[in-house]
Amino acid sequence: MTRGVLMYAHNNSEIDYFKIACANALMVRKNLGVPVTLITDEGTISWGKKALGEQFVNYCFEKIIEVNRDYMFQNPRNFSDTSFSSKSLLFYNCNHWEAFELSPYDETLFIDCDYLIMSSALNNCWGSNNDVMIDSRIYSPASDKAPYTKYIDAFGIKQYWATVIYFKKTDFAEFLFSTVRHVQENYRYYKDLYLMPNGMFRNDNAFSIAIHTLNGYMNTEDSIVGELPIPGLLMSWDVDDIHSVQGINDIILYGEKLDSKGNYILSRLKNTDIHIMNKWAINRVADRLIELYQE
Amino acid sequence: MEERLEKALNFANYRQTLNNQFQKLKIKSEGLLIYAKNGGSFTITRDLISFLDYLERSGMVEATILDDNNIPVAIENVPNFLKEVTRRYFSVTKDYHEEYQAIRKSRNVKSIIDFKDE
Repeated sequence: MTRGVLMYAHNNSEIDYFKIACANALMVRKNLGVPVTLITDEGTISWGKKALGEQFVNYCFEKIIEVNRDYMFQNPRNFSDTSFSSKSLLFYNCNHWEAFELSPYDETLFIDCDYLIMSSALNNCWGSNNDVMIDSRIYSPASDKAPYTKYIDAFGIKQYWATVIYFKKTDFAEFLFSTVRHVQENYRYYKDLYLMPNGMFRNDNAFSIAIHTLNGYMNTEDSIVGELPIPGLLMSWDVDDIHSVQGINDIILYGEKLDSKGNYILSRLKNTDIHIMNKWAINRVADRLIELYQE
Repeated sequence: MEERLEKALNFANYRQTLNNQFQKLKIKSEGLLIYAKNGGSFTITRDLISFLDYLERSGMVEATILDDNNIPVAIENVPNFLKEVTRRYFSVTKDYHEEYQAIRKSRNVKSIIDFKDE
């Protein structure tokens, strides 16, 4: 039974997802003790090797899978670096449904490269009785009341977060990823059907719709997917920032206060995984993370 | 700003940071109380411990119980499982208590975060 972590990294004109993935791969190795496979594209990998060195890149990943980038796919998204700076950049996320086929592992933890692994909590996934586990619960570093919706739309489809997905190579997991592909290819239809507020393609929504469909078009407590064996996903938003990395699995964050733009609350996290939505913030501390976690 | 109001707002900021750090600590501890067994995941609560204790007292060695995802999981040795989860429960709550006390005694934002100037 092979086990490992799978990440995607497709750089855009400003955000170096590849470097973030390298730092996080080292964090995975330190905390989960499993190998990491990266799915990327030619432009990103050649930039990464040039910037960080081929030897280091090979040290970070067990396997690098290069896929063709579909340059026809345009998915503009507003990226913020705190509330004071925002830019519209391309967000390449249209190929996550391929994760099932591309993963070299029998059991895969498919994580966003900006979901920083600072604990061994996700090791509870291995050997699970569930074919797929994905979470619907999130919370925020600045408050116990996360500014999120439990449903993706007014009709009440349950919101799942595709930030971390555990799956096994089973028929059911294949059904799910095939359905995600179908939703993505017909996203405009589903966007209208479920009254999703903007046109940007989001994997969170595609997975939520796919799960709802495979649940027999029902919101049910007995979902065909399990929740991850964690209390929920800690989400730091793009209006938040990283104050500093204090040491291994030890980070201080600025969390913007709810309804109080530009005012922050400090929060120290030790041995807790966290999704950092402010990509510039991670890029600013990526060298420090690499230095700390490189053995 | 009036001095009293400024002090009150500073205190509010301190309380907010304090409560937030308590909440992060609580969630971290909740995560550590999730225990994987035979493909299932179990949140260790006093209920689970009491239930396993009841099974053990009833003489049950093997039992099938529902995990956090309501999936039935066969436990082949209930007394051992009870020992494992009880040990984990007290290890986590002990650490939780120590960290909680350290935060509780902090009298300003800097000490709550345990931030040292570089």
